[in-house]
Amino acid sequence: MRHVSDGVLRRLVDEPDSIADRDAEHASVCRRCRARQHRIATDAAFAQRALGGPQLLPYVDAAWSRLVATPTSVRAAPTEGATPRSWRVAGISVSSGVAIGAAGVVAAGAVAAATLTTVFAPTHVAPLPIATGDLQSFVSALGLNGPARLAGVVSPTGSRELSFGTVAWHAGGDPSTYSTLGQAEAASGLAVALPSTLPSGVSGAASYVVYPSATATVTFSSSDGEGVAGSSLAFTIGPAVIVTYGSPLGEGLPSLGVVAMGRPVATSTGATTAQLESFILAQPAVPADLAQEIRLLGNLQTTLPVPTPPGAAESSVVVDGQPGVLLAENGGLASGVIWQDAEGIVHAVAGPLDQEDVLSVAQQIG
Amino acid sequence: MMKREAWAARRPEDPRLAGGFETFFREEFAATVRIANAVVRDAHLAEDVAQEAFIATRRRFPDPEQAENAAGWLHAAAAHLALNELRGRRRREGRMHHDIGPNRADGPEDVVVANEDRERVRGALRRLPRHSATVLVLRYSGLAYVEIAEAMGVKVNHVGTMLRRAERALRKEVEHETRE
Repeated sequence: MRHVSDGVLRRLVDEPDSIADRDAEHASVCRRCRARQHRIATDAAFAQRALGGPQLLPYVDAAWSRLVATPTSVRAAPTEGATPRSWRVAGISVSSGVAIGAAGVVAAGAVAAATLTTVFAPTHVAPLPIATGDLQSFVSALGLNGPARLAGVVSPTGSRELSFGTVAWHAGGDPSTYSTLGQAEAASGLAVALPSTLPSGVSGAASYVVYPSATATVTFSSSDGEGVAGSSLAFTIGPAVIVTYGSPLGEGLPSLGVVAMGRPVATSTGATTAQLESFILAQPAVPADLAQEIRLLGNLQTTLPVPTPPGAAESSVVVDGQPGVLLAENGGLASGVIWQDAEGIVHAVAGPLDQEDVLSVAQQIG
Repeated sequence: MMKREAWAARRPEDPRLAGGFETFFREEFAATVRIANAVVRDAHLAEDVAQEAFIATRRRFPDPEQAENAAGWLHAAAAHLALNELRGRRRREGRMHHDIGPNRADGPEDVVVANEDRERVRGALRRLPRHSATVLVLRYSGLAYVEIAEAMGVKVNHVGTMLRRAERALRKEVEHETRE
C-alpha cells in the first residue's frame, strides 16, 4: 500500500479537485494518512489565521496614474536570489565551500539511496534541514559511509556488515586528473559547461578531476521488515567531473569548484519505495526529526535531498528554469548552489565567494 | 530581443507605458497588493510595494504579453519586496525602541488576535528561510498552486510540499517565540 505524500495531502486541503482519485481515496481510508492529514490541516489552519486577513480592493485607476507619473529609473527591485550584498569575499580555503556544495550532493546521494526503490531517478533538488551529527549518525547507521565516499574520496571497493544486512560498494577506478576540459569530458562522458566570466578573485581553471561511477548495493537480511527482507537495493552515483579554479593570491589556493555529476539512480529487487522508506526511517539510529524532514520531501523517487546543516543559510533559487538550493555559510565565508538540469545532470558551484558570485557562475552554466 | 525591438519599432512612444503594460497592470494590481499586504499589513504601504514591483516588472518585461511568465515574476518580486520591507522596518524600529514582549499566557492558537500577536507572526515570517516565507505569502494572498509554481519557478507538484514545510516551520517559530 503506497501512502500519499505530505505535499499531496497538503494540496488536498486547498485544491481537492486537483488530486488523483486514487490518492484522495487512499487518504480517506488509510489511518496513517488521515492522521498526517489532520496535522497538516491543523498547521494550515494556523497559518490561515496568522497570515490571512481581509482582502484589499485598491483603486486601480489612481494606481495606474501614479505608475505613469513615476520615472522608470528608480532603484532596481531585488528579486529571487538577489538579496542584499552582505556576503564578503574571503581569501580562505575553498574546502568549506566545497564541503557545503559537493559534499552535500554526495551525502544527499547516500540519503536518497537509502530511501528509494525500484528506480530512483531524481529530477530536482530540495533542501533537507539536518544537524551535522544527525547526518553522520544516519549515514553511519545505514553503513553508507563507505559508499557515500564513493565519489572518489575513498577505497574503490569494499563491503561491511550492517545491523540489518550487508553493504558492498565498487567504484570503476581511481579519480584521474586531466590538464584540459576536453580530456575530462572524454574520460567521463559528461558535457561540462564552465562560466565564461569568472568572479573577481578567481583565476583560470587549475585542474580537472574525473571520478568514475560507483555502485553500492545493500542486501537486507531475511529477518528485516515486510517487503524489505531478502531484497537488495543498488545505488549508482557518478561519474563526476570536478573543476577547481585557482586564486591569484597563491598557488594551490582554490577559489571556486564546479561539479557536474550524472543522475544518481537506485534500483531495488523487490521492496517498494514506501516499504524501504518505512523500514529505514524506523531504524533506531535515525533521529525522529530527520525522519520527519525526509518524509516532508514528498516524492522521494524524483527528489534529490540536499542536506542543509545548521551553520548554513539555505534559500531556493532557479537555475535555467530548474529549482536549486543556495547554501551560504552563516559567517559569510563561503557559499554554494546545487541544482539538477532538465537532463538529470547534477551541478554544484561552490567556493569562498558571496552568494551573488556563485549564482552568477551557476546562471552561466545553466 | 528580436521581439522587443520589433515591438518597440511599431510603437515609437515609451513602450514601458504602452497599452500592453496597462492591461497587464489592471489585471494584476489587486493580486499584487494582496501579496504585499499579506506581509506588511498596511494598505498604503502594500500599494507602495506593489508599485515598486510593477516598476521592476516593466523594466524587465516592457511588453508582458510577449513574455512567458511576467505575472509569476511580478508576484515573486512583490513577495520579496514586501519581505525586504518587513526586515527593513524591523531594523528601523530596532533603532527606536525594543520589541513589545510576548504575553506568556498565550497559547499558539491565540497568537493571531491582537496587534501584539500579529507582530509575533511578522517576526516569525522574518526569521523563516526566504523561500518558505515566500510560499506562505503567495498562498495566503490567494494565489492558486499553479500560480505559486510559476512565481517560484518550481513544478506545481512541489508546491504542496513547500507549503507544508513552511506552515510547519511557521507554527514552530511562533510557538517558540510564545514560549520565550
